[in-house]
Amino acid sequence: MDTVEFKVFRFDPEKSAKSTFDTFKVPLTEDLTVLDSLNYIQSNYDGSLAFRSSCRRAMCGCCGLKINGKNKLACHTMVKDLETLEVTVEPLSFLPLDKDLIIDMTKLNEACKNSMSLLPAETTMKQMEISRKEGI
Amino acid sequence: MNVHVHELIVVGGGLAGNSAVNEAGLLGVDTAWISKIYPVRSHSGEAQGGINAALSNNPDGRDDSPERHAYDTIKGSDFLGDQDAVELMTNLAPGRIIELEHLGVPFSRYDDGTICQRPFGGAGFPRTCYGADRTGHFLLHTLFQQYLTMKEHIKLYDEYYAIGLITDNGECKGLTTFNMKTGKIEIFLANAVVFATGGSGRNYGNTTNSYSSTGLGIMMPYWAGIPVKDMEFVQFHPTAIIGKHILMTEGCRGEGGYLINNDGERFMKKYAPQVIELAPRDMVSRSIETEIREGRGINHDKFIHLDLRHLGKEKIMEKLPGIREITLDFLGIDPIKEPIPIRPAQHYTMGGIDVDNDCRSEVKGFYATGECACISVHGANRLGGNSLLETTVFGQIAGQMAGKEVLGKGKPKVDGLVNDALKKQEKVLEELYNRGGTENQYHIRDELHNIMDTKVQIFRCKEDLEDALKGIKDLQQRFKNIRSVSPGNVFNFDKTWTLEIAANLDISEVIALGALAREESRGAHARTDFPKRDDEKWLKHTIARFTEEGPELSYKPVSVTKWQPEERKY
Repeated sequence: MDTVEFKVFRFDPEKSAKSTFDTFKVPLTEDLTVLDSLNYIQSNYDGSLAFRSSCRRAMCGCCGLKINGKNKLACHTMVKDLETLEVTVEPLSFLPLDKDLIIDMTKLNEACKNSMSLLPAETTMKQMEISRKEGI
Repeated sequence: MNVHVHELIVVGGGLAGNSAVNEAGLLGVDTAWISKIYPVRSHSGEAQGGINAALSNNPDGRDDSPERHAYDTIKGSDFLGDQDAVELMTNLAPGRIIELEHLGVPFSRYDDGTICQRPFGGAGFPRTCYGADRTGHFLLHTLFQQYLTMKEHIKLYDEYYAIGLITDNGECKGLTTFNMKTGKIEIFLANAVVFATGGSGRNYGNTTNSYSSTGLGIMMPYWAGIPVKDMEFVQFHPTAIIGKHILMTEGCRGEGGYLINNDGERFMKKYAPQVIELAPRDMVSRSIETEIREGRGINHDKFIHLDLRHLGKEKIMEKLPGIREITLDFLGIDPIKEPIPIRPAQHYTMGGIDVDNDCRSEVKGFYATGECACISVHGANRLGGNSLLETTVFGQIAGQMAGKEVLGKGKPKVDGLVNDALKKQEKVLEELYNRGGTENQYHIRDELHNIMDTKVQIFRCKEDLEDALKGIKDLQQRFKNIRSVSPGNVFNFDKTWTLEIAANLDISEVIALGALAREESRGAHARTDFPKRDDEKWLKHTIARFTEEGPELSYKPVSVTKWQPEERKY
């Protein structure tokens, strides 16, 4: 079985203001994704590796990372499709760093909230009052 | 030490939690909303097929009614569902869907503008309201947008990880959490707490669940002395893709998809002659497993085909676009051209924290709602489309009940209780995180997955369940000797995932023990050594309480109001 060499961005604010890269070897299987690889690394080599993940099927968006220079979802990126046995994984570059591959999402979340279109509270609550009164 | 004092706390960012906070916001209750991941990333967003209500919009569903919906649900539950709770849910369903529509959920619509409804398993009429095959995603985002209009009352604590309940004199007073960013323990106090923490599928390897569905939200109250109910009833969804076990919605079959074995036959005609592919999930899963066991899997391998080709490109692109994206991305298969290889996988936790129809537990001030709770509306098997309904209806009810309980009482005072709670929590974690042993807790989890995937599955028997319990106890023993966790405070998932594995082990024990004790087959619990349903001995709910020696089982009656148990045929 082939082995993939992962260069993973590391940053620990409690240790140093400087970031580094750690290298890990992961066995390449047919349907190995980059997220699978991060899980493999965290379980087998370094429990302190920090990254966000949840749905593992390209729905939730937690695992957005920069993979070989391109922004992608790690759960969605088949290692075999990268067509290389050397993969570099870094955090998304446009927000402040918290730890390893985790960035501070506050600004992004605020921007999304401010731009979200939604039915304004007055209309909504009025509608809900009506629908509850009418008991539909 | 950081102490956050509110009138109400809701834990869980999914549909049930969001429904609860929105209600609390409408009542004007000062609410802390705690979520370990940003709410719109919750597992609720993965729901695809739809949400049930007797709206009678589909021409084939004109004679539908909440009563018929209730009957289908109770029959689907193999008569273990509490009938008064089911009727409450189906009566509230139409109003709740209209409310969600008014809140802005982009449902798919018929030409006359009414909400589309598709047929689903075990339903006598097409009543599953949908937005293409991304219904959960649409509901989740809409409810979150509405929370934004109530920010004066609701404070979102994003990426705060709940770790333990605080109780005093038999009442729930709050909880301890990790602030993931700083790693510090922060205390939350309130006059009531609502848990909406989701299911427990990640004690299985073959599951459709997100990594966030750990069951820790069910074990935390359990460890604090609150009983759990019906844990042995685990739903295996019939159609999950092989390899990654990602869900292929029941809507595929609702829109006319076929399940095909190696002989090219629609084998469900044998098992459910009337409804064929639209039998309830437990029946379809058993049928698929039987076909595979008897050598009729595709190429005699361990999967069968979900065939959508005859639906045609237009229908698939309009009604099942999300499914197509998944199969293209993860299998390289286009369902317009090729059948999809599928096999059943763990999907839903029918059991959960024991609560009544108002979502109250036996502990004053502690409520639970959504998948982590068991009222029970789903009994021994859940119908598709009823979970999105349960989360939005009972999430609302929990928010209303808890909100009304705390309204006008003001906020609790910060006193010595807080110091005691912090010390107690620190002591527990100090011990858990510094065992200095040799075992790798992630390998222990992998071995647990192996046990659950092979011995506590669709077909169960005494030998397998006893083996499973022995294996789980062995892993619990080895878990006492795990290595110390990584040091560091900032986003230390080694700490939270270790706590989750402790929950995975204990919840597996409750499931396996309940399954071993229940000597009958009912709904999703199928015993090859006790193949018949036994209403005389077993028409009752299983209650499990935590003890140091293991779960202690007792039983509770089922509420039978209108419909006497009958043979369950489709």
